[in-house]
Order: sequence, then C-alpha cells, then structure tokens
Amino acid sequence: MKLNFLMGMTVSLFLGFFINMLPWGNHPYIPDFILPILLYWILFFPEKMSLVLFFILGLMMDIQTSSPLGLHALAYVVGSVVMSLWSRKLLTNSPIGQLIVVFQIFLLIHSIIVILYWLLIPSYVFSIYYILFPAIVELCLWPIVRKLLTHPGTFLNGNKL
Amino acid sequence: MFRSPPALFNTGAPIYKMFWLMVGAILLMVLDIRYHATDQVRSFIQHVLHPVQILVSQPGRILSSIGDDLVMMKSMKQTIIEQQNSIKDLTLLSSNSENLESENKNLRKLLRLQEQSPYQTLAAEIIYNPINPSSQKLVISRGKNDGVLLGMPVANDMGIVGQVVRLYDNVSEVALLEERDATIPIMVSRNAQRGVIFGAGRAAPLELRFVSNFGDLDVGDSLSTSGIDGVFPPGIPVAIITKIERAIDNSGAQISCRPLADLNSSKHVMVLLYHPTSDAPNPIVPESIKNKKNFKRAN
Repeated sequence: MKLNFLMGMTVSLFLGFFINMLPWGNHPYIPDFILPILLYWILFFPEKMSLVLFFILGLMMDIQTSSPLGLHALAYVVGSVVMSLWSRKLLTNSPIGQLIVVFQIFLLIHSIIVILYWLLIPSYVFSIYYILFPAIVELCLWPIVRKLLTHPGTFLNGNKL
Repeated sequence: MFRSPPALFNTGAPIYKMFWLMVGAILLMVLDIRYHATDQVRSFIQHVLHPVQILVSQPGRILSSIGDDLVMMKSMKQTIIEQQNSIKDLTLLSSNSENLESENKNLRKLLRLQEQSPYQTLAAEIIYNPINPSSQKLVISRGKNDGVLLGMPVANDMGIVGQVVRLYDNVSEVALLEERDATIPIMVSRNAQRGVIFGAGRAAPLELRFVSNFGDLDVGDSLSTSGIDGVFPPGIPVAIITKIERAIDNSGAQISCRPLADLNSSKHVMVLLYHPTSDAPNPIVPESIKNKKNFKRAN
C-alpha cells in the first residue's frame, strides 16, 4: 500500500507537471495543472504529504516558467499547509461547500504567485483576472482529478477510500 | 517534559517545516533577483528538465509537421516554381551585392570609417514559451555550448525577435521585443533619424519614445537597428510605424509600431553571433547588458 501510494503521488504529480510543460503559449490565464493533483493528495493523506517534494516541484516550475527562483515553491508550500490544516474540516462539508473551500485555496495560491510577481518584477502589471481565471479553470478540473485519482485500480491498486 | 499537542490540532501539517521552507524560498528569491547568485541551482534543475522539455514538445512538433506536410503537398509545385524564380533573383542580387560590399569597404577605408564587423548566425529551434504572466520570453535550443553569449540578438527572416537574457548549457531564454521595457535603438530607414523602441507588454504595440513632435516620421516607415548600441548589428529590420499621435502640447509624439517578425508563431529563429569590431570604443559586450540592466528603465 505504501509503495503504491508513493508511486501514485509522484506519478500523478509529475504527470501534472508534464501537462504544464506542454506548449500552451504565453497567456496569463493558463491554469497550473499541478494544483488540483497536489490538493487532492493533501486532502486525503495530510499526514503523508511531503512538503519538500512540493518545494522541489515549485522550484522546477520556476525554472520552467523562468520566474524568480522560489516563487512557485513558496506558493505551493503555503497552499499545501493551509489545505492540510483544513483537510479534516473540508471532508465533512457538503460537496458545494468543499468546492468553495478548494476554490479559496486555489485563489490563495494564485494570489501569492501574482503578489510575488508584482513585488519582485517592477514591470509587472497587476490584474485581478490573473488570479481569478486560472483558479476558476482549476476548480473545473478539480472534480475530474478527484474522480480519476480515487477511481479504484488506477493508482491506489483497488484500495478505495 | 513536552507534551504532544492534542489529536484535534495534530493534522499533520508540520508548521515548522513550512516555516523553514518559506525562509528558504524567500532567500532563493532574494539571491536570484538581487545578486543573480542562483545560476548553479538553475542550471542544475534545467539539466534535469531538459530531456523532459524536449520529450514533451515532441507531440506538438509532430502534429505541426504533419500539418505542414498536408499543406505542402497541395502547394508544392507552385512553391518550387516560385522558389526557383526567387533563387534566380537572389543570385543576381548577391552577385551585385559582392561588388557593393567591396566598394563599400573601399569607401569606408578611404573615409577612415570603422569597418562593420561581419557576424555569423546560428539557427535555433524554439522549444516553448514559458507560461509566465510577468514576461514575454522564448526558450530556444541553443546555449552556452553552442557559443551563445548573454545579450546576443535573436532574429528570424523578417527581423529582430529579441535578445538572449539567460543562458544555460544547452538552452537559452530570449526576451521578446514585446517584453515590457525591452529597449532597442533604431533608425528610420528612410531618413536615418535615430530613436529607441520600448516594449509595452503582451500583444501591445511597441512604443517609439523620445521623438520630437515635429520629427519627419510617417505611418508605414520601416525602422531598423541603428547599431550604435554595439549589441544589435546595424541595418536589421525591427518594426514598422502603425500610428502616430502628435500631441498639442510639447510632450512629444506618441508613436506605436508593429514588430515585423512574427513573435508568437515562428518555429525557428537565428541567434546573431555578433561582436562589435575590435577597433570600436566598446569592444566587449558592455557590463550593463551582462547584468540585464538595459532591460530595465533607468529610474
């Protein structure tokens, strides 16, 4: 079970990273495909999450997007800790309530990223839509990701939650 | 003795770990932005990512090549005839241009003007556009190992695309003309009037600043590099003027330009391995370019 879990976590996270690496073009509204996967693993396994893995993933994302080193890493780490603090509470919510909480965390992560850009890069133009749009797209991806990852036999080898 | 927190609060989030990682991230950001001291970390991670980047860009490349093939099949004959004609024209032109070049050289010698240094070009493939709302960049498939240096201009067949701003071993990042506060000194081809073009962000027209209200400029004038910066070789087309708003007061005209090179849809670019002449007053690439300072407006 443990090996399967670790494999599922790393494989799905790196899959998300590959999707991020696809040539999407340089549009500010493009979502971060890792985030729903990241939040999924934290939501169901808050004790087993590895902050260092998320940190390294953030660093890779920084290199990939040629942003200041540590920017995505900071956002991922803060977002995942907040998610793990809320995870127990979140699972007891109604489906709609869960979506709202997850949306808040997407917003938090994107606002950290955008605010850091705004602080660090003098020529950056702030826009609220750079936070809202990706968060909405990720919210739409969230149920799909959750369905795919909880599906028995894919990553968890039949051990349904 | 310490007691462990009650189970209610023990949700598995190691706050102290988060704290240290946050400090680490902030330290990295400061080192990166202020001191440019994270090159080794960057190049290490880039080395790890490079094969994956190549791998991930394959499907798109295959798709686009299939699309190209389909289009090519249709218009192959036509293009071959056109190309043969244009080759004839070009050979005629090039035989003439050799004469002109030698003549130009002799005249420059007579006038004791500096000789323009010839430069080589290095074809490079665009790997991807980084998804980054704060900058307009390209990642190309040539790096330090291919002889690329920081600050080298990058162009395609239509004109200047941008400038190399970050180097890795096998890839390098190119800031596009559109990048906010990217500057490039230009010259109006028609009357050799000089000016500086500034980038204005994604999909916004370039701005030609610091030009007097009464300057002899017109919509449709083509602008090419002037070469006085010692970074861009002279005479390469950059942009074309699309709009001029002359102010009533004395604040100067607002001039918008459109880059001639298609910045977002080309597949290949050329790195111009350009070094200014050794006799020039600034033979080395200026320190300001190495620090990327010329990409920031002087405050």
